[in-house]
This record gives sequence, structure tokens and C-alpha cells, in this order.
Amino acid sequence: MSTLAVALTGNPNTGKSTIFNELTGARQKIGNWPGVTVDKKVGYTRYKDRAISVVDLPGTYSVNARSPEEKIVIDYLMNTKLDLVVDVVDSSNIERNLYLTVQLLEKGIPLLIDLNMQDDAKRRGVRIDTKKLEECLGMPCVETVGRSKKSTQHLLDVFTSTIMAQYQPSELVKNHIAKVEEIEASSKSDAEKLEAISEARYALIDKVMAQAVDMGNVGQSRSEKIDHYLANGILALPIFLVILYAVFQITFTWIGQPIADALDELINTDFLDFMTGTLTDAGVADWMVSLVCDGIIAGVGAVLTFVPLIFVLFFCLSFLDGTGYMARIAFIMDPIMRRCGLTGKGLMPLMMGFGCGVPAIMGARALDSEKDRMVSILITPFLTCGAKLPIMALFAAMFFPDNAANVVFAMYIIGVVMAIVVAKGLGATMFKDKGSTFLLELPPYRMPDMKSVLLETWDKGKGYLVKAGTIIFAASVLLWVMSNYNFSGPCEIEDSILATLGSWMSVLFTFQGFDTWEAGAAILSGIMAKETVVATIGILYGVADVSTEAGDALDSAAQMMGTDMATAFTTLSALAFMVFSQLYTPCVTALGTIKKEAGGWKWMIFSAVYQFAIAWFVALLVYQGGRLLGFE
Amino acid sequence: MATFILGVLLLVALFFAVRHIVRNFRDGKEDCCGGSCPGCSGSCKGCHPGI
Amino acid sequence: MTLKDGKTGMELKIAEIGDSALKERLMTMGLIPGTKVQILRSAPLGDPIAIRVRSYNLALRRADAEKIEVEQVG
Repeated sequence: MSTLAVALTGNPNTGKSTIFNELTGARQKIGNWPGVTVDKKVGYTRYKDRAISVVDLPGTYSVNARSPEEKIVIDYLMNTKLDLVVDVVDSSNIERNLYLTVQLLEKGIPLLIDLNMQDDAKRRGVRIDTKKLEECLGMPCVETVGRSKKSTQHLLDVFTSTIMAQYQPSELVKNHIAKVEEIEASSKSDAEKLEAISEARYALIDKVMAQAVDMGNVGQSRSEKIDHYLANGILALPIFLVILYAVFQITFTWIGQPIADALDELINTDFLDFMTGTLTDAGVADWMVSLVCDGIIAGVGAVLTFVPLIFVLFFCLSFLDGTGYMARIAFIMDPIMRRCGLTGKGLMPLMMGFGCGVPAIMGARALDSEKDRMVSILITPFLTCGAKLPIMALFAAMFFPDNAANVVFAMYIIGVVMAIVVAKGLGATMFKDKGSTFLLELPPYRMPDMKSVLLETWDKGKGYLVKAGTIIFAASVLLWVMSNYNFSGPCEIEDSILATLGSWMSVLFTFQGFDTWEAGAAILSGIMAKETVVATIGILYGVADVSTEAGDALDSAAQMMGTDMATAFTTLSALAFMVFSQLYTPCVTALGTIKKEAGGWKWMIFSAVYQFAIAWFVALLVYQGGRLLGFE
Repeated sequence: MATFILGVLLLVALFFAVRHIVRNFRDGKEDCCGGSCPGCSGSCKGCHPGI
Repeated sequence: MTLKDGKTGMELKIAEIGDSALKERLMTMGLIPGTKVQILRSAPLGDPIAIRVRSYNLALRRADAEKIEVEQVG
């Protein structure tokens, strides 16, 4: 028998993705929809000897083809031969969910309606007469509770036994379609038509609701009671800060960092020693040992030790989002964000910017207005991403041993302040006239489905592993070659290609106090990936084992104290270097993302240049200002 | 001899790494997010709010 | 009156949605003339507001709520 082709559609927050994950498990393929950077998730499963493929369409409230996601959904459903289109509906919120259902039926798409979240609906006293609903719409319905083996089993049973060709829209729906066609054909303006059609759709929904659904005595829901504390009154903001603090503590102190430290020990000490020993014993030439150990293991290892932090941070954020709390953060922070020239919804993607700028820039897609989106994209790289943190930690520990934590914290603040200043500036100049709006569903609080949270975490985190094995690996080899050779062959590091490039670069920083070729080379390499700044410094100042994460920076700094680095920077020039690193041109990956998301080379070049300029000026200000005040 | 074998292995690895980078660049893909939906964390509402 | 003028806890009925960038989306989300809404709360700093409409919760800014004409029920 041929593969059963199933597509899942539905509103956001209906448990659609959970159903998808339950149905297909880890057998998923993630690709891109043609032409747009929205993920296409396809999963595979097998049931009673029948192969089943499931496509998870983006969650949308309607298919007016206004956003790329809506366009994807409608184009896919209209142009693909599918055996089954499943419309996942949140039973406790069936009224608004039916809007999409009605719109799809208008397009002549037969639907299997999955009345999901039955447990939520029961608890809220919502009773749905499934038989009656089937009659009203003329389409088959199935009840599920989201995550349960039984529901999944039941769904698969229904999938393999339902033949959609047997179903016809009901008279009620047919009449509605006729009415919509009548409105379309009338001489009204487009806006009036849209309004009339929306009203007609909800009129149909009201009829269906009256016949098939008893909303019960909808009092205050559990979520509304929780919101009384989390999104209301004076407690909401402190609670938000505590939760935020907990996420960072879990990541950087309690769970993420200890794992990172252990991994660092494993890679940069045990594995490094093992490889050095093994290779030397096997009679491998010295230069090759150096390439593998000082180049590849040092470079790739530096990034790998950082991976546990990423996984833990993403796990926390995925978990929080699964609960529905992220929407509340946007809700309570909107006025503050607006004063900064942004919007509450922009906070979610920006928070990701402390992990990595790339998902943060992509996340800006969620913002409604063009202005909010562009401003958000352009300011994200000012934030201290995970790859910049090691630079800050290393320099702080080395040059400000008594105040290391405060200096690192100050760098975070400088990043945030610059982001706000630039956001206000951009809002007042380049994007002045474009309005900003805010419309957000506050979904019910739910216990996140662990399987979905873990799958999400893995999906995002594994990218860092891939990056370590590809771009960082290649960069490490390149960096090693460039620091050990020039065009006439092997040479001392001072005569290497890297030294030449670095010294050209360093001319720019004459007035900032860090005009050494080593600093220039580090800055240059940082454009490739920020992780390489510390790695470069480590190689150049003759310390092979420079850890790139915060916890070990103290040890590394201690090792470095005896090296040339301590004399290459003064306290003041080190501070200027930190500020510069914090603010300057984003890494190529981020630049590529900016190009894609902001729409063109123009914005990418703008971003690269203006950030470099701002960093240059602020570093100048710090260094020259500091000298005027008598610091060294 | 060991140097030679290791060198060949490294070259092969480097070839695949560079090919991956080139393909990523050509297709406009990002590793940072594992190709998965990035801003959403957990459910799809981050990127696909639709409203 | 407009939705912006409503007090927390008030039950209101939508009379008209004025022209705004959000109009189409508001209607998609179920805010149609005749629809009942209840104001649930304001955010800690007074804006945005959360409303219950068609048994789910929606947040919108006061500036956008001003475009929605409502009348009081009961």
C-alpha cells in the first residue's frame, strides 16, 4: 500500500506540535519551505503495516496569506495531494479555533477535526457533542487529550481507517460558502468584504456552537487565577526577574557550568595529553602534532566546552515557553520595552540573544510591525552572546582580579545600554513613521510536554555541535597555518601571515591603546566567530590551553599572568578592548542571518560598518577618557 | 608514514567541513539553530504567531 | 465608550471596530460587532490590557483598544 500522506494544521497553542512529536518521535526531517526560512517538519511512522508521513504545518489563526506562514499553509494544502488533512483544535478554546476550520472548509479542503486538549475542556466544563459537530460540519471528528499513548494509538487508528472522499460539507457549511461567494461577487470594497466575510464566519461558528457545544459555566479559568499573580499588580515584575535570574543561575552556575567544566577538563587536559602522547609515540612529525593539538583540539575543544551551556539555556527557554509564561513576559514588559523603542513581544527573541544572536535575529520574525522587526534585528548583536562571554571573563579575571564579576556584569550592561540607545536612535530616524502594534494570545498555562521540550532543545543545540565540527574545525586549521607560516615557508610566529594581517588591523586602534598585532589578529578572527577571539589570543601568547568559558577563565588568566599578555595590555587598554569586543561587527553567521532576515546586502553591510564604528568610538571614549581621569 | 595517514584523514575531514560550509552558504542555512525553528523555543508561537 | 475606557472586571459588548492596522486581525481573533468581552486586568504598568473573548485570553495595547467601540452589558 502506498504511504498515507497526512498534514497537521491548526491554531498556535493547540498542542499540534506535541501530537506531531508523539506520532513520529525522533523520525523527523527538518527542511525549509521553498523560498522562505520557515521550517518544514516532516515525520514518518508505521502503523498496521501502513507507512505514514506527517507534515507539521506552521500554526496559524487564519489563512489570509498575509504572513509567510499563512501562505505556506494555504499553498501547501491547495497544491499537494494529501490523503488526510488534520485540523487540530483546542477543545477548551473551540470557538476561535473553528475560524480556521471554517476558512479551510470554504477552500474546499476536507478536514479530519481533532478535538484536542479534551482534559482541559472537561476541567473547564466545556462539553462538545462530537456526533452533533460532525453533523453540523459534515466532517469527521476525533477526540484526543494531547500527550498520551492511548490518544496517539486512537489517532493512528482513525488515520488508517478514515476515507475523506466519503465526507461532504453539511448543508450549513454549503450555505455559508454560497454566502461568502455572494459577498466576494458584490461591489463592496475589499475592506468591507473582509469584514462581512469575517462576520459571516463567526455567524456560522455561533450556529455550530449553539448546536454542538455547551460552554458550561465559564468562570475564571485556572490560568486566569495564576495570572492574578504572574501578570498583575506589583508582584509580576519581581517574579519575572527571579525567574530570569534562575534561568541564568541554572545555566551558568548550577547545571550548565559544572558540566562545561568537566568537559573542559576532559578535552583540554586529558584528551589533549592523550593525543599528544599517542601521536608522538606513533612517530608523527612535530608540525603535525602541533596542528592537531595546538590547532584543532584547542580550537574545536574551546567551542565544544561551551556546548553544555547552550543546551541547558535552550532547555530552560523551551521549558518556559512550553508553560505559556513567555507570552506573559511580553505582556508585562511591553511598556518598558516600548519606552526603549521596542515592543514586549521583542523581548523573547532578544533574550535568546544572550545565548546566540542568530536565533535571536530570526526570532524577530515574530514581531508584528516592520519597524519593530528591523530595529530588533539591528540591535541584537550588541548583546553579550555566549561566545563573547569568554572574552569578557578572561580579560576581567586577568586585569581586574578583584572585581572580575562586576566588570563582566558591566560589559553586559554596556551591551544592553548600547542596544537601547541605538534602538531609540533608529526609531527616531530611519524607521520613524512606521507604527508598532501588539496583539498577543495569552495561552492557558500548561505543563510542558517533556518529549517536545527535549526534541526542541536537541534540534537547536545540535547546531553548535555541527558548527564545531565544520566551521570552527576549518577555522582552527586555517588559524594554525596562518600563525605558523608565511609565504616563504615555516616561520616564527612574529613573521607569520597572521602577524602581518594583525599588524595592518592594529593601525586602526592606535588611539584605543591596543594597537598590537596580536589584538588586531584576535579582532579579525572574531569576525569569523567570536569564539575564536580567545582561542587566537591563547595561541598567540603561547598558552595552548585557554578555556573559553567563564568558570575556567580564572585559571587561564593565572597561567597567562606570566606571559606577554600581561604586558601587552594595560588595565585601561584591556577595558577598551573588552568594550570593543562587546560592540563590534557581528560574526559572519550573524551577518548572513541579518542579510536574510532584514532583506538584503544593504542591511548586512550597514550592520557590519555601523557596529564597528560605534565600537571604535566607545573604545576611544573609554581609553582617552580614562587617561584624562588619570587611569593607566 | 603515520604523518601521511593522519594528513590524508585530516584532508578528507577538511573537505567535508568546507563542503558543508559552502553548501550552507549557498542554501542560506544556519547551523546555529540546527536548521530548526529558532525563535520559537518549544511551540511554534514564537515564529509563527500568525495574528 | 471605547474598550480603553473599560474598568477591570467589566463585561462589554463590541459595537464597532474602527479602522486601524489591526482591524482584520482583531476580527480574525473573534472580535466582531456583538461579541461579548470581559476586561481581565491591566499589565503591572497599566498597559497593555488582557481581555477574555470567546473564552480565551487576548492582550492588546490601550492605544489599539481605543479603536474598539463598546457598550456595557448588564
